[in-house]
Amino acid sequence: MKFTVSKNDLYQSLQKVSKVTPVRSTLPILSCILMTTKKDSLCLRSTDLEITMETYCNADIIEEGSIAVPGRIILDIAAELPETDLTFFIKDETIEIKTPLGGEYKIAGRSSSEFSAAPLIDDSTTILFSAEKFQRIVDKTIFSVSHNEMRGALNGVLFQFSKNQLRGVATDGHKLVQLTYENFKNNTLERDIIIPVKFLNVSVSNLQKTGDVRFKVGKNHVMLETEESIIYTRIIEERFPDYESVIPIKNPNKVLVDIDDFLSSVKRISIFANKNTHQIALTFSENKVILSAEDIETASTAKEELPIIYEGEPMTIGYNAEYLKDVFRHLDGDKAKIYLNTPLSAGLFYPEEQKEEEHLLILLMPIRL
Amino acid sequence: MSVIQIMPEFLCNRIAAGEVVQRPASVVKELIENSLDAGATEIIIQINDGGRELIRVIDNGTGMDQDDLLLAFEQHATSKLFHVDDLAEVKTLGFRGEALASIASVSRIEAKTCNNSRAEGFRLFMNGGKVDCLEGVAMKQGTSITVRNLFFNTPARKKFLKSTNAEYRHCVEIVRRFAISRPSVRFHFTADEREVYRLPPEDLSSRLRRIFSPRVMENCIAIHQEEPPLTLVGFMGARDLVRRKSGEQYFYVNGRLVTDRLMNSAVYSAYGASLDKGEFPFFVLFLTLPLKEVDVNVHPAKTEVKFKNEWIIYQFIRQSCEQALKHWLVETDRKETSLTSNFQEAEFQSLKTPALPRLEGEQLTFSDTSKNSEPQAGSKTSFEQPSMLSLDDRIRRFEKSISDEMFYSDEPHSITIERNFWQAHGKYIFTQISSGIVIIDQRAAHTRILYDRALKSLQQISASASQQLLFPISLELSPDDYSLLLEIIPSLEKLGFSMREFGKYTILLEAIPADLHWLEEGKVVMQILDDYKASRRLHNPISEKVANSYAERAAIRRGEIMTPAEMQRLTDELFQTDNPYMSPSGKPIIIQLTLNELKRRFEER
Repeated sequence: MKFTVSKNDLYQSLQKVSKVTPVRSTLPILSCILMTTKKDSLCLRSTDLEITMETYCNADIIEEGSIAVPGRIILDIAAELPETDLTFFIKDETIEIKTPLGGEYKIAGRSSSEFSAAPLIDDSTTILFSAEKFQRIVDKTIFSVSHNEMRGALNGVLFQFSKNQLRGVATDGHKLVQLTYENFKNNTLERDIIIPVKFLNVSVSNLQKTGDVRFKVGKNHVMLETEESIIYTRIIEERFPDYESVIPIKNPNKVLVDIDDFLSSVKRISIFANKNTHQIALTFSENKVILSAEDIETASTAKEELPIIYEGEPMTIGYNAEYLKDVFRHLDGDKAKIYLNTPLSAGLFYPEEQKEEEHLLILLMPIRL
Repeated sequence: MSVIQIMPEFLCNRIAAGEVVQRPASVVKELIENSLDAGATEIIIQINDGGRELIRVIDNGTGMDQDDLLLAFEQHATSKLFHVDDLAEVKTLGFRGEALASIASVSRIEAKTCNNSRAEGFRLFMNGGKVDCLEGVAMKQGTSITVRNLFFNTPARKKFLKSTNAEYRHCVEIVRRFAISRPSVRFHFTADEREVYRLPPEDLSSRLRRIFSPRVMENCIAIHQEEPPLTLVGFMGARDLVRRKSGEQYFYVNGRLVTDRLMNSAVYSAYGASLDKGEFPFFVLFLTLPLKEVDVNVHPAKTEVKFKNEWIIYQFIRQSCEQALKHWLVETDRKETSLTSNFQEAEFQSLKTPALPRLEGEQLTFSDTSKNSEPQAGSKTSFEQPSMLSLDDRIRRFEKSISDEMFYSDEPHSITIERNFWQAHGKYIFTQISSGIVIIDQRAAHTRILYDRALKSLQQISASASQQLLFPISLELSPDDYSLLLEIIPSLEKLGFSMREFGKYTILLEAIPADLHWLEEGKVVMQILDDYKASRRLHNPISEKVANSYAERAAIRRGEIMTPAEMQRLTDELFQTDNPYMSPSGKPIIIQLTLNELKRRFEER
């Protein structure tokens, strides 16, 4: 196996695929990147067994072949080299890289047969939709995904494809985000799929900002194609909780707040909140909200008052300040609407003005004070 | 003629002797007890051939007159107990009045006694329980009993005696028990004319030093705990004195050595998990309590007693020992720390200029994640670590706590931690202190923190903050688990769980403690329930058990990678707990390696 490749092309491609390479793994092969020659290009593939990513870079193929290369070393040497042509000679499992300046670098690779094959996606349905929408769903929902690896369905974002609608939902059981696009033109795919968070992160960083993304959805896998790369992942095959039933309908108490003012106030107050529970209290009454926190352990308290528009009975409700900050960071526009029922039921947060064809709702469960 | 007949007295005595006098050591025991009950301040014990040939006990007690001397060898003759009420408040070691009669029935006895300062005493010879001769003799006040040819008339019993050496060891053990219990009494013990013990009147600690070895006493922790009407004094061995076999546990109740498995286990449990199965710590403990609280008349050899309120006493012993151990850990720690010469100076300097965290430059990064997540914590992309504080928050908090410790705290256990943290294998946190390095078991440390926090919330009237769940979790339980859960629901609610009944044997979990957002809600409740079930046999209060299960279940796992800032925080919080050295289940949290020790190890060949 022998090929020549531009250092810059190779380095860019390596950077992309190495995002999938697991940081720590008990399987040494997973820390490798598979290089396979194609007609006029070199295919690079990495996998963590859940996600697989393939990308191509232009190369001058002299002799065909396939080899697994230690990812870290190849990435490091590529980073340190100036732009030049690199020639790879692979014999048995030894990789030798030569530069025109006379540099010679040798490392031991692994047989390509150790590398797991790319998932086969059969019976797949292809759906095209705007990269912007995909990106926005990921941006808005991903903070709500559960980080507890044991939570199955909650470790991903639920994408609901239906006839006229696309919706992304994420929740960790304490907060929930739901972003809906109406008038979604879709004749091919009506299905709910839960997509793992890592896939979404890797995809978004590889995506062009405009145009369409092409999703190929199979039975167990989903595949995203961009111009240079293909990313596959296993779908989380678990039942997403019935989130619609927990969104309260009757919410007699209505708040309108300025997002920036409120967020900065929460940031200040949260400094004085208990460092383990992060709890802060919001006391709503006619035209004002009092934000307060108290930490007995450090004997600290804080209180601020903000003007708001409030319709409803006076009430006090507790929230985890970290969650509350997250919620407000994800609301667009100047003002936010908050709909409340009781101090123990979910609070509903909306931007005052929704974007066109879009509906964003964030749900946050309170803390009983 | 009827088949059933009243046994002749000599037969009775021989049968009773089977219970009371099992071997030479039993004779030694009975005789020393009598001497002590007679108020002796000096006791001489001699044995030959492991006590088979001769056992002699000489004391300077009150002595007896002629009539008493004869009576003493009658069955149930005693000077110690006259009324049935007396039995409830036995002050003396002996009281059953069968010892001398039993011994006499299976041996040849020479008893000399004198109860006056005129040296007018009496001598009595007996053979197999029958009086041979009684005569006057001149002697000092006191009593001397010589037992020869033990079991000469019960060959079966004699056959069962072990080797001379084994019987000798039993005798030594008996003398040792009494010598420990009465350090103010002079003991002189010889075996086959060789001196075994020569113990002058002294206090307990020097008595123990003489009996065991100076090394033993160096590693002993003194206990003195009073909780009227209970008093516990004595010594318990530090972990160095843990033995693979039992036998060096001396537990005295009102001066009487008893074997009580429950009370032994109270002491063992104070050591917690630092004792493995089959390991036994050394201890000498004296429990004093009102006489009517304990019944000594449950065993012929009086080695067992029955407590009226055994669980109260169990708790008292356990807590006393725990406190002593804890105190000792803190003390030794301080001692070791102050050994290094530059410690005081360092302390002093840090007082003047509180060191600022030199986090950025100095830390040793040990894993990739810690490297990655640090700048992130500041910029707060909030994806990787949603629930954590920003780095700045933590530094501020840590600085505060450090300055707290230095300026306001008079707590005994504040090692000045210098801020260099690294984590090994996702399990242990290493950090430097002025006298060396400490290694912290991260999970044990977190368990301790959560345990203390849980206990505190359980004592509060109001419940802790609880995060409501978007998707309440229904837990289906078996009927017995269900009733058990009902038992601990009030405690769980105080910790911040919130649940309600939801059909038969089903509970709906609606909220969890606000500081536990990473947990799997349903599972943790079931695990706490299982732990609680397993700990049901323990007799500590429900709150302790719940707090313990909760802490065990909610603590971070081994293998969890921590950032230096998180490690700081953990260490910081650990040192604000009641006992940063031992986890609630008794496992050590911190191991210290002093510079001296490191040096010694490197210089060992």
